[in-house]
Amino acid sequence: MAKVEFHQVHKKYDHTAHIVKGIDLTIDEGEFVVLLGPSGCGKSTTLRMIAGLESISDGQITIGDRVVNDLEPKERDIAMVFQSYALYPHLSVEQNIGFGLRISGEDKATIRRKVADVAEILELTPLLKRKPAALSGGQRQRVAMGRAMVRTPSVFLFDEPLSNLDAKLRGSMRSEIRQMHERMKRTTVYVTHDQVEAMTLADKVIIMNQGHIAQIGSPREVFAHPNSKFVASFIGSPTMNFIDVQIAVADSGQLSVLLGDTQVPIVGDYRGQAGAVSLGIRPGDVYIDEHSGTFEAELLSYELLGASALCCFSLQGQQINAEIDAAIPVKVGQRCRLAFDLEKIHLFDTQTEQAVFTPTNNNMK
Amino acid sequence: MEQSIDVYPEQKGLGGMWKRINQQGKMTTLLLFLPPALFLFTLFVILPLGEASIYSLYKWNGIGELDNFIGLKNYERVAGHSVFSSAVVNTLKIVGVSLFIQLPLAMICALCVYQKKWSNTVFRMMFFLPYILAEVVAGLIWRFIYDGNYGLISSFTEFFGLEPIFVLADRGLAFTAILVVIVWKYFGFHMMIFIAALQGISKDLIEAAKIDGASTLQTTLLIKIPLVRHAIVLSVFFSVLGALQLFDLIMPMTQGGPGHTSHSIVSYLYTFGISRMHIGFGSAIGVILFIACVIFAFIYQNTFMNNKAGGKS
Amino acid sequence: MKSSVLSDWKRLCFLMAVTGFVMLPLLATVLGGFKSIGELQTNPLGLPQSWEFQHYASILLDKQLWVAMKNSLIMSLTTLALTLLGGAMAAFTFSHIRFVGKRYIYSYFMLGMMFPFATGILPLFIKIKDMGLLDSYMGVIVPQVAFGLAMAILLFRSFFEQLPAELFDAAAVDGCGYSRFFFEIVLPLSTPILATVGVFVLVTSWNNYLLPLVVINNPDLYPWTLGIMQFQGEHAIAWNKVLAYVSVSVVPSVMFFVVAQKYIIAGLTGGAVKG
Repeated sequence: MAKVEFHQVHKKYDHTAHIVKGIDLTIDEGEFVVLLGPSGCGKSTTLRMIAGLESISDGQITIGDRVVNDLEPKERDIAMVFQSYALYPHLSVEQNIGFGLRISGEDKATIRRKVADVAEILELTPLLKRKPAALSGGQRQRVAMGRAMVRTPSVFLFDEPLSNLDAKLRGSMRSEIRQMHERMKRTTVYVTHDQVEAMTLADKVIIMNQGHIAQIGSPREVFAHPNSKFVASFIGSPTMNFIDVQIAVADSGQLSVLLGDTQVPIVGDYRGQAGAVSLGIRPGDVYIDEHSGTFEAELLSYELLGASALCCFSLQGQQINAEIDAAIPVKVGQRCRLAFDLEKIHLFDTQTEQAVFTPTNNNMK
Repeated sequence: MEQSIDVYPEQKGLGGMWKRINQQGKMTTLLLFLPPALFLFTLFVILPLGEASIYSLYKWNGIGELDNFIGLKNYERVAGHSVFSSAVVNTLKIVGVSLFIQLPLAMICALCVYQKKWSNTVFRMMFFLPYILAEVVAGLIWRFIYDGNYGLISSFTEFFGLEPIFVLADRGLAFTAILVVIVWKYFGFHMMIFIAALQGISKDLIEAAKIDGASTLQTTLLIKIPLVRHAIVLSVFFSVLGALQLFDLIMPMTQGGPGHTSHSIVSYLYTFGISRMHIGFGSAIGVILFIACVIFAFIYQNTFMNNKAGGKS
Repeated sequence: MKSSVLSDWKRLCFLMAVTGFVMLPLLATVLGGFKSIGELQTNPLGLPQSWEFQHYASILLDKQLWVAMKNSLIMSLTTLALTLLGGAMAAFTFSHIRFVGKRYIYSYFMLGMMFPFATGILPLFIKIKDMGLLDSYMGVIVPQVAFGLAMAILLFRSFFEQLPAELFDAAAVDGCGYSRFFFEIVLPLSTPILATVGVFVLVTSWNNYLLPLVVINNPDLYPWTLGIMQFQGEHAIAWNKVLAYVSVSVVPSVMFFVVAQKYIIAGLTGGAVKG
């Protein structure tokens, strides 16, 4: 059981690449944290620094109350599940799971008992004598988890563990990982680029971008209140629309969004200047409303997704996607009136790309 | 950047530094694993080479003090020695035969048997068989074949009612006979290299060529052979280095005779350097051989093997 | 399916001709051991009219042959073990440890690929003499190992580098340091390359002639390559005996070839072509 803390942690390679640029971070005891970000954002490096597989160029990492900067992986009381599982091909499932225990000099009976326990939990008991080559992807994944579990470490690390599995298995393995966390209540750091995994697994999501932490929050928070255009565009599928608009502030303090000739009043806490901003709205928050829709737009394309359809509109020269009920009959080329759910709009500064608006009705804090 | 607080509190001093460098026993492993090989290699491969270049400046029989410095005299003697010239010519002949007879033969055989079939495997194994025989054995076998009284050659001469020919005792024929044995012994090795490369060609390419209307011959000449260029480059490399270093075959067949007409560079070195204990003279031959190998390897690698792993890290 | 340069029957004729060129000398050798001298003269190639087994029998009963075989075996196997171990350990430092001067030290080893063995043979002889290793197994073994290292390191390194990097990470998390990783994970996973390198080291050593010729003078320590030359020298005209001796001495090589051909070919394909 341990808390993991980062204090101004940097990672540089030679003198050229600066992968992680000063991270401050606290992961609480027993928490399930997902590091999420596009490839190359430094999330894997961050994880590997916790594991001790990468050295720390500057700053400090603590696990529990120990500074682990110079500790070897085995001294850090961690276990890790790898993307390719990294099972030892020449060892049986049993030997794979027990390898770490054997290295640390446990006696054979203890090893056998612990391995058997873990195998029981993960339903690997019939497979114990097999070699990794004779296992399916999901079974290998479970062996990799078993290898981590058997050592009952205080921190579990996962490096994109599901990316080699097909979509169906990924779903069931997700819930197994979640169950394992429920059962063991260990601090867990999980790296992925898949937002669905992040949303379903995490207590806390840490979104990284170009070596920095872009946002930390619960899955719900980062989805509903992205603090920057990057987070807004990274989280959510289909991706959020961004359109260029003007903000006008009346003498009364009334805010309104100006798009061409159309002016729409909005209510909320605005922290920017009057003038150009980027308005973000998720496709699900755009509606076709022939009566009260405020924006006139032309339908450019129509993709049926199933129950809903993704429509791409041209709105005064800018493209905007709307996810609408598939039952609504529309044709490409048709002009429609669109309405936005004004409580779910986001405004981002065009320069800093930071969020500058909090709609009133959705105030969470 | 912010000041970091109490960095590495327990890891200061020499012990800490050693621990940091020796993460997971990295340094210990390095210090245990590398030196044995390095030591052996230096002592028995690199040092003798350096010593050869020193000895080559002396007249020395290997016993007593090394004090008779004669400068480049040994090199002059080697260069002026007619047997050395003939050994060099012989070596060039080996290179010529390797490149223009052995490699084409190997390539044709490879094209015939490269596909994975049971019968092809049998041919491949048979053709490769001479390569794994020791050179001395190959030499003895062919010495028998060439024997004017007993061998295959003798049965021909007898059949046609001719005088027995002693091929290996004939100044004009002896080295040619050795060349035949070289082809016999080594073409299978090159064939295997070619086969490996041919098997690596994507079937799609061959099929694409067929669809483009290429004949079998055209496919071979325009697609397959250019695509195994790297293997050919490598084979030529091995052939030339092998020719420069040929020794074991010569000894059982002719020992360089008759009249020192069939020496290779190394058999020349052995005969005039080692067995007569002319250490300085022999070393000079060795150094010349070394320089020839290095110059060839260097030029060849830079010309044909640019982005290949040959010797680069 | 038509896929070679020559059409099928032409191809077959060609292959048979090459087969004849390759196999006739070998066939004549094996059969020659069963013939009398007289028959050898009149009928070098055909089956013997009367099979004379006594030549083979006398060779097989010849203690000298077995002593020579034993000597060769001891020298080859020791060379094999030391080359594999020394080469693999050195290659592992190149593939898995970052250290200053790695590139240069590696290139230094690779120089060994280019050096003709013969160049250093005289100084090597002096060195072996000075070390008191003349007329000893070690005098042959140690230089053989040294000369085998370059190729072994080249092949091992490229193989080790292809091992998944995550295996090393996993082992590190499991608390397994470099040395243990090498012995517990790398070596067991490297059997294919160990076999390939091993086969080449073994064959080269088994067939080595020049080095023992220089180092060993005591006939009791002769490897079979020297033994066969000595035998030939003693029975220069008794070709049937020599042929029987040759045939017998070739058996281990051929047997080994049949058993290990997979690795020989792997070495040529994986190692030689890339190397």
